[in-house]
Amino acid sequence: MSLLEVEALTVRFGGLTAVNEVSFSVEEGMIAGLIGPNGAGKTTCFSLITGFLPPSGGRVRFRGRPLTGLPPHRIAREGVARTFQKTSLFPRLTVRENVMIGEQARLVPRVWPALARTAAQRRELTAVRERAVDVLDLVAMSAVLDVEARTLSYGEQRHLAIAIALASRPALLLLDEPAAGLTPTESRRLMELIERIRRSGVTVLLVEHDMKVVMGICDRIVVLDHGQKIAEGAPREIRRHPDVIRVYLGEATG
Amino acid sequence: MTIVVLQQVVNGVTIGVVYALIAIGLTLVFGILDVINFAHGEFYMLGAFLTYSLTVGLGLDYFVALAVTIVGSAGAGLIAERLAVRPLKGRHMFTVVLSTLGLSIFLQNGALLLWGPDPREIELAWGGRPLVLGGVVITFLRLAVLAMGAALMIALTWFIRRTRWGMAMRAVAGNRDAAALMGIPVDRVYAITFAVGTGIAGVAGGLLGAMFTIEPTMGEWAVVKAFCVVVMGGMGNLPGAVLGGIILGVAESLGAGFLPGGASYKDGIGYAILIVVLLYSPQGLFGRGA
Amino acid sequence: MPTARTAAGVGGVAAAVALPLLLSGPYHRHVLVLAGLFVLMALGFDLVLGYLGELSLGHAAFFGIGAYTTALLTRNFGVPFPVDLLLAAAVTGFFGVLIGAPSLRLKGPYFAIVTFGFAEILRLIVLNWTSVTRGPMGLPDIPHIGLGPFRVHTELGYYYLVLGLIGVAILVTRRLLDSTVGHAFLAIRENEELAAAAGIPTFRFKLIAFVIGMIFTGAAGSIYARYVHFVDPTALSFYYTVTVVSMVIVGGQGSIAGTVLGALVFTLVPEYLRVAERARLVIFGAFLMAAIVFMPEGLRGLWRRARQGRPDRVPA
Repeated sequence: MSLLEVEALTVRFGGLTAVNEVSFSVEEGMIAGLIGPNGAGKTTCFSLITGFLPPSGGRVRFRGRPLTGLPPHRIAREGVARTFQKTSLFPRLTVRENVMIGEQARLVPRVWPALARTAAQRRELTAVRERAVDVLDLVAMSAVLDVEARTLSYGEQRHLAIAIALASRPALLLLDEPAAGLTPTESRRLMELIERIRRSGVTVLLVEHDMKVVMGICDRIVVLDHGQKIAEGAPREIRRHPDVIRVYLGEATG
Repeated sequence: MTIVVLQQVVNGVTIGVVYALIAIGLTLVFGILDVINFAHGEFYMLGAFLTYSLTVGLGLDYFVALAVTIVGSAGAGLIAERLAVRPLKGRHMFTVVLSTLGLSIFLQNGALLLWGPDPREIELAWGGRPLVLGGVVITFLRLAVLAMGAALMIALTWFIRRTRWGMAMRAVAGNRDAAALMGIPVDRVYAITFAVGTGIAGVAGGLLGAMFTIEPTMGEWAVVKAFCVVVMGGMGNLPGAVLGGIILGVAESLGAGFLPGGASYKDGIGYAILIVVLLYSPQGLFGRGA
Repeated sequence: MPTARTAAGVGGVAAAVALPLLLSGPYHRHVLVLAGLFVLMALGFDLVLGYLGELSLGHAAFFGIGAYTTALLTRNFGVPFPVDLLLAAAVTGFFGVLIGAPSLRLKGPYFAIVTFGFAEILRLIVLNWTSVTRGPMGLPDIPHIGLGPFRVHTELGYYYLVLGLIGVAILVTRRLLDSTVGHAFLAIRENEELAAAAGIPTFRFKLIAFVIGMIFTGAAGSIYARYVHFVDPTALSFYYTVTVVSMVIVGGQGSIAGTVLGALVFTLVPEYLRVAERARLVIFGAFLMAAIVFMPEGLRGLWRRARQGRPDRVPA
């Protein structure tokens, strides 16, 4: 059984079919890539998988359990985390607080114990604070713990977004264009980070335009064009696939 | 029986046209400035008092007074925009809401101070004369209100479609930054939009003020109606506001006539519609527009 | 906790307790009682505005529900204190769920308008359901608070009672905010979409904050009914909503000190403006506009800038 199974996923907006019967699966421990020209429907797929968009048809299964129709916060609780194409943070909270919020997927904050300030509550809060530091270590950001998120540089903000997603200890991490706007050095560091993440036991599915990153770390690649899957396979197969080459002709990629 | 229904409908359409006029200003300001002007009703009220002062106080002809009222209300709107809205550009929407609430308190109590709480009336000699069309009675005043309302709406449509300022307004409503980049003086467009909105509200006050009584708190009632209509028609949607106003007027009229205990809950009809629309179709029955 | 803040807090409490004893005359104490009630309402409102980021314009309705519940329970059923207070809080909480559940699906201006609509419908019902509420004539002769041998019937007595309730409200608010629940609220305010993606059931938490905030308000209404012995539909008037909104926004949202400050300013200013009786509200309106234009971060922001020369930071 694959970790993530996407079956005939479809979504229609009025007359436009943005995602058309897309099917693929992601195995545990894999780093998978979802690529395609602009407007192919990649981010839409992410939104469908993570519950931000209801599908018009098809199914998504995670660890054998159905994900379709669940609201985003429940899907996060099941163990699927995502980042957003446009860097999404909690701007006026500190770096540490940002990550602490990511951990909420693992706990269920309860009102009455919070009011009563039970010993268990206080222990939980301390544990959350400490775990946040561990996650920030993984993304190499522990130096800036108590700085407001909105004051970070672009690259640091992207790392923070990943940290927030990791804080929920997902089994599957969806990264939406993590390399966007990064310098070549930063991209290389990102690739190392994603490898570290995989080694810590998290499966990764990423949407990306930067071919160096995709070809460099992905085990498996799915190619979309105009909402449909046109190819799937290992990087060297995809590199030589005639349909993929045709679709990307004229596109300036890395 | 049909005659009774028809009569209610005719009454409802007349009031509905006035509702539409009040709402047009509100929806215009929201569509173009992204501001909800809670003081909108007060400009309606001021317009009513202005018309009253001109006709009863100075003895001017009613229609001349209305013309002066449009200009006066628009002028007041320009001042208000400069003081209470423009300085808050870029700040959170709530601050502007609160500022217009403050303005509303200021204007309402200012009117109370100037004119006192007693209700006034504009008596027009020719107003009460009835015209009977196939069993349905309509007074000359109401006919005049209908005609003037329609004329104003046509004039506004022409202004927005055919003049340069109208095009500027539409551009800003569509994409403010792009409009600014193309050299459109956004601040001035805001000011003019606001003034147009308050001007129309003012003349609506003058029209409705001749039909019913005038007193300083009438603005509260008006702004609520305007909200109902704007929500129904879709924020920023002008034809929607017209349709919404008429629908509200007719719904209230029929409701008051036929529902048990209808008269006292008449205002509640508007609120009920407002809530139902917001919960099931927040973008309005006719969708957003500009 | 930094010692400066603790010192300020202790100082504030001491001042609050001592204040009415320093003032002579029942009128000033009366103003303090009113201020206290408004602080309670404002704390409830700030929970929704400052910590969730949503503007609710239905505040006055919940105040009125609390007041009318107490009025009806004490007049018709002789319910004693504090049972009526608890029941008033419960009823307000119930209406909070009733109105909050559909409304919180909306955001921004739509949420503001729909809460306004609900509040006005409630006001109309109270105004017209004369068999129960006696309509505009109101419900008079609401008894004072009697707890065994103790009777609360002076301004001083009510003041300390209200102070006690404010203390409870602040305790509840602080406890909530200092926990994972509070973090969830802040996350929702800062970025609701991300909060949902991070696993927070946003709708549930918005509703919780809303209901708690409205319970504070209903409690204020309940005490108000006892204090003035009379309740009529003007208790639900929009004016109270505007006043509370002003207090929180001008005082500084998302901060307890700011809310208290704002509540004090906005109770004292209109009351002491009574000398200019007829122009009172005109001045108030102008004052409100000026305050918003010239104090973008509220009174608290002004205070912080003066002390540190740094723009306001959100307390977490």
